[in-house]
Amino acid sequence: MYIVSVFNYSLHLEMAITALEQEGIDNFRMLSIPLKPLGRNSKKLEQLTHSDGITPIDLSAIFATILMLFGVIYGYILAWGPILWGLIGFFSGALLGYLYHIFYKGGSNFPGSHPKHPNADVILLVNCDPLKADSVMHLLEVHNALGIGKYENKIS
Amino acid sequence: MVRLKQTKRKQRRPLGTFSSYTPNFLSYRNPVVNAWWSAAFPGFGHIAMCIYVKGFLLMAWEFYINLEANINLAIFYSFTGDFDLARNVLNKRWVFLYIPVYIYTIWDTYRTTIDLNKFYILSIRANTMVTPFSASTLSISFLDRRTPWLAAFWSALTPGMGQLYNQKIPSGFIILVAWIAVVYMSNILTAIQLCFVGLLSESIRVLNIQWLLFIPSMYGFNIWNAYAGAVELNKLFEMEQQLFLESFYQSKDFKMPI
Repeated sequence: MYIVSVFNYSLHLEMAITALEQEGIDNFRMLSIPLKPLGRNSKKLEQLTHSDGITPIDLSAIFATILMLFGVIYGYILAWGPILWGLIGFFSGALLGYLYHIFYKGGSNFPGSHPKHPNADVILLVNCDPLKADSVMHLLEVHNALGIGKYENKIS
Repeated sequence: MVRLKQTKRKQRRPLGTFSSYTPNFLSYRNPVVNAWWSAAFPGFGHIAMCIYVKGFLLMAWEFYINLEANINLAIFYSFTGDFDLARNVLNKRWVFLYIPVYIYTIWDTYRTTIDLNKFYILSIRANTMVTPFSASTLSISFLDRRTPWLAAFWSALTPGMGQLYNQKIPSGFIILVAWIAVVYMSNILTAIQLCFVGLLSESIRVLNIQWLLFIPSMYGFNIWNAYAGAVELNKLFEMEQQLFLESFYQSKDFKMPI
């Protein structure tokens, strides 16, 4: 009997594996296949080769700092004062950096919003006795498995 | 001839270390972005590279000489067109000392980021990894997922708290103390209160410009630094767990269902 499950990288995954080991399932009865996260890693590779590590938070923070500084300085001679102009500069700078990224870099890189980001990080196969299947599936479920399936090789 | 063993090779270029007071590990970073933070506030570029002692000392230097030479006041008067005031307010005994250290700091950040990126690539290629947990008598730090926007949010409330959320105790508390000093001396909280109840001219009068101009760079940097730090922790967490799973849960004795 094979129990197939998918997980995110998390401490829950390690707790699930160690809980299974306490249930008497040896580590050679488990196979983990970490999936290469295409969204982030392809970006990382791009950063490694082209040295282009500019993310929206970089640009947003840089523009927000510059415009906040000018907002504070010119706020002294403008009607609304340095505090309000400083805040206006901060938020418009942050928005500017983010918009630049969306329109000129083709898409957001904030976590969770990348179109190629996979929902699952690790596939875990557990080869166990059919009698233990339910307890194994229960353990995987309480440790935040994203999905669980089972496969019974009827011939063997 | 003495040969290095495979484990020695991994020890030779470690990806970093988890001390119980602060995790410190290599990440791939953009040299221009780090150099920019050094230009915004000398010391911040080094803190961004996790070269903390140099960063803290340069930060202290920036505070001291900027206050002695009145650089912020001169910047303010120059941008608002009071060039005579700008000329008069600068302290000539200090201002020329400012220039070489300022330029060195930017240059050093750019150069060191490039070097650290090379070490990052070498460590990754040697398959080295950090030990993801550390406890000592007085503290514990561990590698786990962090939510980047939460780190940014805490630093937006009070710079330094986002770094503390990322378990970086030294940079978190030193920035926190610096922030408290700047907020107190610039009198910005009184000004904000007066501004929001509509007493605009009084709000402007209570502000201390020399101290006020430290705020934009401190505020912007610390939100960015907390966010980027959480992203880096998450990347490391995924890399470490991937290596662990591949090392211990891909047994050749596993019977495939074929």
